[in-house]
Amino acid sequence: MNAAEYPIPARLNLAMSFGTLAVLVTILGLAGRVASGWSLFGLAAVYGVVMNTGYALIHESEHGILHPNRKLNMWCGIILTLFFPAPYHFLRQGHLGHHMRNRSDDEAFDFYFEGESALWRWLQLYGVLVGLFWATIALSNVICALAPGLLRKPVMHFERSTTAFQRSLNPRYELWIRLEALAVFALHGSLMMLLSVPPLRYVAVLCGFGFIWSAMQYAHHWGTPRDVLRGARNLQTFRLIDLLWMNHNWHLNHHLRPTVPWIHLPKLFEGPEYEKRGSLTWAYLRMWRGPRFNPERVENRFSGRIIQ
Amino acid sequence: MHDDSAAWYLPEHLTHLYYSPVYATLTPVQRRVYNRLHACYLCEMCAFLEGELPRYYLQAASAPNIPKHLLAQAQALSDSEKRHASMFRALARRLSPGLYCEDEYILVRPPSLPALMVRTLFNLPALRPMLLWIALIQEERGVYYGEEILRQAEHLDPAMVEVQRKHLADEEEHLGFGEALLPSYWDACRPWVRRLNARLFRYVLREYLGAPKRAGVRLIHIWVKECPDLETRKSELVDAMRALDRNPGFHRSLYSRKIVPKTFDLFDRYSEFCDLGKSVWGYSPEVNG
Repeated sequence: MNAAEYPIPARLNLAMSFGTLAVLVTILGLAGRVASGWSLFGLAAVYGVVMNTGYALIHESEHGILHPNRKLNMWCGIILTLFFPAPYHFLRQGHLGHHMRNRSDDEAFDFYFEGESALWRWLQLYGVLVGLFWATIALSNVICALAPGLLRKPVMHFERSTTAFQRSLNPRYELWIRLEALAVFALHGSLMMLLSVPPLRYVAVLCGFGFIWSAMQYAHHWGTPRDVLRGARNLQTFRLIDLLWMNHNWHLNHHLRPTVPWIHLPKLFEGPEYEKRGSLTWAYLRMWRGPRFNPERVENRFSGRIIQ
Repeated sequence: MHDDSAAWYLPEHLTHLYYSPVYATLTPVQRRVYNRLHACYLCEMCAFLEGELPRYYLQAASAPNIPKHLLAQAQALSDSEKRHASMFRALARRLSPGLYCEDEYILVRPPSLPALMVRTLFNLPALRPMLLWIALIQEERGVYYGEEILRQAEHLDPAMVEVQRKHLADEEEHLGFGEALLPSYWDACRPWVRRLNARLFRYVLREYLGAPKRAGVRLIHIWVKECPDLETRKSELVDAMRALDRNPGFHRSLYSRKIVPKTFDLFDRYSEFCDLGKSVWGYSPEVNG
């Protein structure tokens, strides 16, 4: 029914998926051949930009709008997410949970609340801004591969965002998560060997994506209304980058209607309140002001709801 | 605890299971979760009907025997119904954001092949009167639901109340339009077309817009996932939902002279609907008591 009104650009998405994978593998291969640190830095930056297209495709898949065929949709998501690198079913639960927790106390990184450690919230936010959020997910591949059940074990009671995320994890996806994490190690181990790329260089290139992805994670939500649907902002960069990132910056429009494919997002909601697109770079820089104390509490109404 | 908000979204008597004995055995939290999911079902149904039906109003109002001013009204109605459909979809997402991350219709999901066939069939002018009847009875029922929700507004979720308030502001006018259009259209139809449409109307109302079947079972599956303590009672709940089809009180809660008086008055005028009470129990004098 939604498909008739807003069709999925299935062929374009598949072409972009294949294209992205090809470019990513090429960049990783080049990492073993460049001579200077600057060249490696350049490759990391390009990988960062291109893998964010990959992430935009993963994001479409998480919402079931990369391809109308459910299985193909999922498998494209799984393969692309290996380059994150992370298990698709792990990221998917995190993202769908974000649509439930957005701007509640459980997911408002621009604030800290009564009884919370301000220091921890500062460290957490700055971690996100410098790429540590991505690093945490990438490192969690070890837990995902060895004992995915541990992902649900509450070990950080003082950290409400992580606890809320853990409470939403569905145990039925643990086998998928384990297999996908093992595939992450198999894929990247094989690529490093086949392409003869030293591990440190390989990781350095992946970090290019990690920094950009992590840094952007909260830019679209910082300072927005404490409302699960309207708590997002439409941002922009350069036109070409916006297109490469598949309109991901039309983030308010996406939150208002998460099942509408990316090509329709710019025209989805029109009117003055939707047209003020801020700069993504400025939104990023603004977050360095750090979290502020907020006495206003917004309950996560869907706390404990398991992702299906 | 799976829904720790104290919100109610619909008056309980507008939900299906309220008419089943099983409802009395549920805990307050289980009832609230059910109430929210039923509100989602209602939103989906409204979004679906308000999105699908106006096109048939437009086609019908373009017929040669229909007064010209009704065509302009049909266009305005179609535009406002599109807004309503979008409003109900947004409300459903607000009530259960996690449910609508991958699709806008989770509970109301007509199987794709039959839905395509039905849509093709409904483009036949001969079947249009039935769709107009469906639209009219659903509009009037929507008005009743809206009024009931506003009557209990102080006990209900403000977002639900606000949407119903906006919906009602237009709906009275839409109802008037349907009432004006239908008799002219129906009177101009040949007798066999009227008989066919009356039969189809009975079937559609009974099969898709009466006692819960597919959507009701889907709702229970989701409800049980949200309230795992109900897992052991799942088949009991499904049976209770299906048993509503034989429950006069429940049927009276769907369609009755109190809920859809104008549509029932129109049925009274046409002999084709004389046996409607066999499938729409609320129309039969016995059930209305």
